[in-house]
Amino acid sequence: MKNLVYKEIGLSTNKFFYFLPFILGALFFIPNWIYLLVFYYFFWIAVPQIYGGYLQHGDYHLLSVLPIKKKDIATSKIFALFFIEALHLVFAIIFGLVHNWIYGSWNFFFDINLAFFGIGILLFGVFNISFLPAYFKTAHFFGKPLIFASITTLIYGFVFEFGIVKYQFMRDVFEGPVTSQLIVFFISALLGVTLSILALRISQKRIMAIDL
Amino acid sequence: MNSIEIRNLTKVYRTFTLDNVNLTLPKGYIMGFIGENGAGKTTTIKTMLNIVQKESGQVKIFNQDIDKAEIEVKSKIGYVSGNMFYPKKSLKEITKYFKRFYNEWDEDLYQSYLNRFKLDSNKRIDELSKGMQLKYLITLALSHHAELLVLDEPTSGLDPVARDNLLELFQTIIEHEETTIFFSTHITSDLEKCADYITFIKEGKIIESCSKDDLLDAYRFVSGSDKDLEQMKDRLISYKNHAFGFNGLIRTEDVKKTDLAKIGQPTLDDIMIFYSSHKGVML
Repeated sequence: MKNLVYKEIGLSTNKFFYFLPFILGALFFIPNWIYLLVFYYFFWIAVPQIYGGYLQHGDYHLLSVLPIKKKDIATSKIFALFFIEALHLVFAIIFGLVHNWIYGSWNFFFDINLAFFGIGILLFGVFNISFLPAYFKTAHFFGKPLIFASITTLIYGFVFEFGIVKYQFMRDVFEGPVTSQLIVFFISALLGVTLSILALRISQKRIMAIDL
Repeated sequence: MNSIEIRNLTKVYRTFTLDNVNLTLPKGYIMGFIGENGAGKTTTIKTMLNIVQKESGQVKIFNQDIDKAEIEVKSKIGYVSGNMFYPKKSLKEITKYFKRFYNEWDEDLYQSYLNRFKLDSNKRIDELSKGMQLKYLITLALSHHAELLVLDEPTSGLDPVARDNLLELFQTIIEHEETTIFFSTHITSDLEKCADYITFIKEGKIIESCSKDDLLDAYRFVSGSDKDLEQMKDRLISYKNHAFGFNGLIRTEDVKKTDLAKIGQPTLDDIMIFYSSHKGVML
């Protein structure tokens, strides 16, 4: 498994996608913006490129030659994706802190605070559960799974960004005192991680049922 | 010891069924796997190696069930699928990742094969000719001391000189390494040069699986006049009419002393071609 993950990160994924979290992080310098969008650029730019690359580079031809279990193919690809998602989160936190230091924490849309990052982790969870099991139904075609995941994550993001602008009670919960933000962070982070693990488990099962 | 032992291997697709495939290949020999395009050669190989899910059957490689010891078994196999990967990466880069999967990787041996095949490890895959790409894949397979080489149509797309070189290489491998080779092809002349055993598949069913000499002895090529044809028509596997009479294939055991047609040794091509045709009609 270690070798497979190493191959996914080193050979199968273009180095640019480790630089992308830094570039997208810079979007936090835009004042008064919908900052959840930063994560969507990862879904729309990196994910189709990475998963399209598997087909383009004949990655499954290489995998068919190697002494590995089919289940581990899904696991390694998902671990590599989790790794890049974690990078996006780390850079988002760093640039988010810099944003708050420069502009202050107030934002017309969702503030950059603890709750924001919790909702961000859950956003990745929603993306993972929408995209990965659908992709590993074929392990080749990523178009429809990505459209499906884009729709679910857009609805999810809209609920928070619109709700916070429109409804005071949402602003109170998500932009209220630190304890309130902490609760949101832990609940949503836990949910996000749970959804991601579930996505992994379903994908592992689905890849066993298909012919690569 | 047998390198490959397949029992009742079955895989069902909507339009094609790999039907109860049985074959055995003893260690240290070359088996050619022949059949026309779409006969089920690649499906058999992929199902055998668990790349596609089988419906039923058992595959033993070196007496180990592949389902029970998949990684251990696959570590001893060098599989060359003919499909290239990572065309824009250099040989050096691919090898860096590839070798991590094999405990038995032998760097000196790898370098010696690179030199022998005149492969420049700084070149990209797509800078190599098809023959050189194949040599690189064989280098990867041999550098981890694969005890079984499984090659899916390795000679298709190669010019006659490259094919001949490759077949010579197979024989050298068999002589110097303790390796067994199983390779599929539809170019039967390749097998006449180097195969010890032949397995012939047609429409997902194994027609014959035996030594090359036994296979060639089991059939006879017949040619004669229309009158001769009438005499033996029912015993022929198939035949083809032409201006002067007919050509056909018959099982050796079905030949009668009273037959007047000319009877001779068939080639593997003849066996494959006549099995693919129906009586009197070449498909």
